[in-house]
Amino acid sequence: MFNVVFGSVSIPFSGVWDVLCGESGVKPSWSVIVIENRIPQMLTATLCGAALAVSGLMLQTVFSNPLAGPSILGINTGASLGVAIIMLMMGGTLVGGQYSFSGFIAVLMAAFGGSICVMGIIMLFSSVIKSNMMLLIIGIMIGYVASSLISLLNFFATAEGVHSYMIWGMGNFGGVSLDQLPFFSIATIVGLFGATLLIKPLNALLLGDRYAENLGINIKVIRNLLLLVTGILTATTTAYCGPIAFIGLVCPHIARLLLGTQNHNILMPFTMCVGAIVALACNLVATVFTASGSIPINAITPIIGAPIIVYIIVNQKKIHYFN
Amino acid sequence: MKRCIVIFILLFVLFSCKHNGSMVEGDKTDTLSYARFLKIEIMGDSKYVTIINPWDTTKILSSYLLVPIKSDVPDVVPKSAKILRTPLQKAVVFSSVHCALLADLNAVNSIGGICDKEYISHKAIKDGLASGKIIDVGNSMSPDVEKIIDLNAGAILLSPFENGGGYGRLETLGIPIVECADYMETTPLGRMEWIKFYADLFGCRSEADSVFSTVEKRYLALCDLTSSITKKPKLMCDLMLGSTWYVAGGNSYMAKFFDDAGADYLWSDLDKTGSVPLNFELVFDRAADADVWIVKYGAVTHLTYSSLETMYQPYSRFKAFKDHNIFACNTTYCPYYEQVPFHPDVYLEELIGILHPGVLDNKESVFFSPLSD
Repeated sequence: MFNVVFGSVSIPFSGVWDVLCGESGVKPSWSVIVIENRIPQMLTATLCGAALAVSGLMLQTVFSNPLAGPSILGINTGASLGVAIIMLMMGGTLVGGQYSFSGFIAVLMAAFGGSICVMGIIMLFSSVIKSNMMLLIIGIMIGYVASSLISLLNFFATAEGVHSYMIWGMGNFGGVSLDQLPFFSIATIVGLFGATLLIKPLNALLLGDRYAENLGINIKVIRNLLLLVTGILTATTTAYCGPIAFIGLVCPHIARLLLGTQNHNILMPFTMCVGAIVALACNLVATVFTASGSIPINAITPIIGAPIIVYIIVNQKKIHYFN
Repeated sequence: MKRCIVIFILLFVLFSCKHNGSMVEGDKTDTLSYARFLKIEIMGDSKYVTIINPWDTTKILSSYLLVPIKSDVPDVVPKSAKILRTPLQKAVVFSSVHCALLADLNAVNSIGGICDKEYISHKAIKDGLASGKIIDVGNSMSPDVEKIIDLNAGAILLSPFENGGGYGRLETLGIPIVECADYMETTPLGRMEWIKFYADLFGCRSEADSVFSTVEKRYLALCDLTSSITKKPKLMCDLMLGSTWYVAGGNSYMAKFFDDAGADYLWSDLDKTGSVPLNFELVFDRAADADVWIVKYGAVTHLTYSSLETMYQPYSRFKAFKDHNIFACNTTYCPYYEQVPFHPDVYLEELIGILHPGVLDNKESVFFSPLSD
């Protein structure tokens, strides 16, 4: 609610209420600001935060690694590479046969395509490689390769292209308009629902791969399903909001520290809530506490995230997340 | 006797100081009316050029002593001034703006190398590149030093940046670096006036004086025309990048253009010389009822009203969108960055044509065109 009431333009609570109730006589610009800007931004931040946090939680569990996050497998970087190809190489336009897409749609398709490609490669390796650690290393290597291609594209790009790409890379929740919201919401909600279906195997995986297998869990299938769900969530959020840092990495830890449990039955919904709250808080800070109302999200998330990660690393033995 | 010695020493010191001072200050100052960061002093055959640091005007960014090739270098050279023998026979020019300017001044034969060739659209430069007379020395942020050394250039012309951290290896090549800080000028004629300095470097000053005088007269005449117009249309500009909308500050170079064109620029009260990042709601709150919207963008496909709406639906809520009063310049196909700085009269004329239809005779647009459906 704070995200709807407070913004860079000062609108009294009564004004916001009148807009929400559809009262007539409200300043026309307020109606556009609240309905078409603040509400989509608030919903985007909520869903994006929840999606990234759940992705982080699932990856941390499946890889038994407290530092795993949505960016660890290179899915984020795949999206970034897709966007870099469009923005830096193709002048912001995606041409396919007689169709051509430009602007936000082109960026969206490129980011989605890039992340799905990387996810496909990871899943291909996942069906060949048994060790989680090796899969993690392959994910990191794919990320490095994508990063090097992005550096090359940046080097040969125009100043305008580099600037546009840099702004996209800073992440924002404000780029999703009301008409784009339904697809974003459906894709994210489907991903979140898919994640809740994996709660039981995730709990089994906490006991270790062998125990999980004894409990009748097909590790390979579950791992591929987890990768698919994580891929959908990360690809959707990165495509619409840019690569948002730290939320996916930090929120599962905040949830674990607050709940003191590893049981995914409670942990997963709670992580979703924590992710949504952290994302909304970051959005509020970015829009309200600055005169220009446009601080990039990625400039705020590490300020919240980094101290928590340091705390986790320092107290890793005490916390005993993954035995 | 002691008194005589003291008087002698004092007189010696006094005359020494006077001698040095006159050399540093120059004999006569070249009259520059608009440029804030440029000073040219005439010292006999030579010219002493001082570039004031635009980011800290109490300091000097760089200074140059332009000595004609036929003359000898003076015995006393102003402290920290770099000596440039003019006219420069061969120079490496890093920015497309200055390449185009030199081509306009018929000094294209003095360009030995250029950077960022993808930005170059001037035919004479492109022809030079194709024939091999002009060498591409790569990216301006990381130029090919070997090619620059091989060119044996007399100077490197580049744009300085605030806290740029120096020029790396370029500084160690022994080739004087000319810092073209013209882009920091806050008025169109101020920037245009730097043409005199560049012309002094390449020995085409009289031509530059004539060009400047013509542009100045035309620009001021256009300003006179708009000064009597009382109904000033509200003007907004550009688009969001991500969720950030960069608007030109009220003291910026662009804001001066808008003011001279008789626009009520909606952010003229922002006390900034650069651009200011805002978010959608701040822009919409102020510009929802803007009369005219000008957009500068670079893309392979041209922007249309429908693509603008698809890009971000709330764009369609602006009055300028509803009234179909959006004018766009696609910098991928239009030499905007090359032409505007040293053709401010053409740009101003076009802005006036957009803002006050009917005031000027219809001319073919150079930069902006109305957005199509």
